[in-house]
Amino acid sequence: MRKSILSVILIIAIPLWVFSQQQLQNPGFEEWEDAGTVRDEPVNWSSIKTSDNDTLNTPAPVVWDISDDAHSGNYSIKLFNVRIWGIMATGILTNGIVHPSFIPDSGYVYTVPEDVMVILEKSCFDCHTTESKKDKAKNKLNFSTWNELSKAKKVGKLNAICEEVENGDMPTEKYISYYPDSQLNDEQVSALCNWVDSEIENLMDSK
Amino acid sequence: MKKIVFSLLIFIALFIIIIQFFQPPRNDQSITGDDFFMQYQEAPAYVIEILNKSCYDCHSDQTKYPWYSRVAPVSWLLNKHVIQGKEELSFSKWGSLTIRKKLSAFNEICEVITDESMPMSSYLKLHKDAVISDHDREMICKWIEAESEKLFLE
Repeated sequence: MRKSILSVILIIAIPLWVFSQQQLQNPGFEEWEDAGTVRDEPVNWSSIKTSDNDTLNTPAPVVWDISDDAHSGNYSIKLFNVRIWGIMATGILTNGIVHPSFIPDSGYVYTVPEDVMVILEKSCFDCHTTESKKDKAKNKLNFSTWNELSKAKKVGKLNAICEEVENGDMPTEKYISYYPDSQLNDEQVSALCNWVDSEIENLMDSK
Repeated sequence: MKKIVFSLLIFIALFIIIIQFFQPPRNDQSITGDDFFMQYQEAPAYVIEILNKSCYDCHSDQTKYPWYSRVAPVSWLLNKHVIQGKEELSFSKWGSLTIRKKLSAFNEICEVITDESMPMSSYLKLHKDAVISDHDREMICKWIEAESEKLFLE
């Protein structure tokens, strides 16, 4: 009897856990970062103000505004379209990252899924960012200056990221011996490669 | 004592002769193949020349075998390098690569010649003319960059 109760509970609980979706963070726009500055945005939300294209962050038109016309809580967001240089800029706010472009067809919104971000932070950023002292690693791939690369180079490097990790060449054995946590399991490798695939697809679509 | 030395010498000589019968397979450079790099990429003469003298021996089926490549155990070592080289990148299979793989390969070619991990130092010791000069390096990377842009937009 006890066994069957347990299995019933498990049968109900496991799908709930497996299919449960992650809740949106700060869904009501109640929390704000850099409030009062030009870069103020709701926490966990992004717009062109904080896009990955620094040159466009300031000149880009503001296409949303904070509003106190809230359904619940204190704040809400008002989106609107702005016409600038003959181009319509649509009101947009995303929990991903905006990649704007002077050529409207080349702009897109993307996300680095949380599981991928965790992998990058734990296993890659120590050597592959500007702060790193490892010149060789930095020269090959530097996430800090990623957006200075051409799209063609991005595709090439993204593909290499997946290949290196799949072959077990990265993180290096030496690094893993110092930081055993940085070793990636199969699941993490496929998460990283799936992200690589979707990024490459985005880049290819935006040419 | 003399006898022991003598028989040891005989044994070594026999051993060297016997291992000669174990010849690894060789690339057949008479076949260029439909997927060969040159069928897909229009390269200027200086790029072709550098590829020829510094890359193709290990990274394609167009290996120019030196005389000692027939002598075991050198032949085994050489064969291993060629297999590894082709696994990493084979210019003879260029046509079968997807665009992202081609872009990745292009990017990597420039990287490995810039950090001088390629051509391998052991290869350079035996092939003095395979050294890629700073000027050539720059030219290749420039060409690769332009070619990558074209490929991406294709």
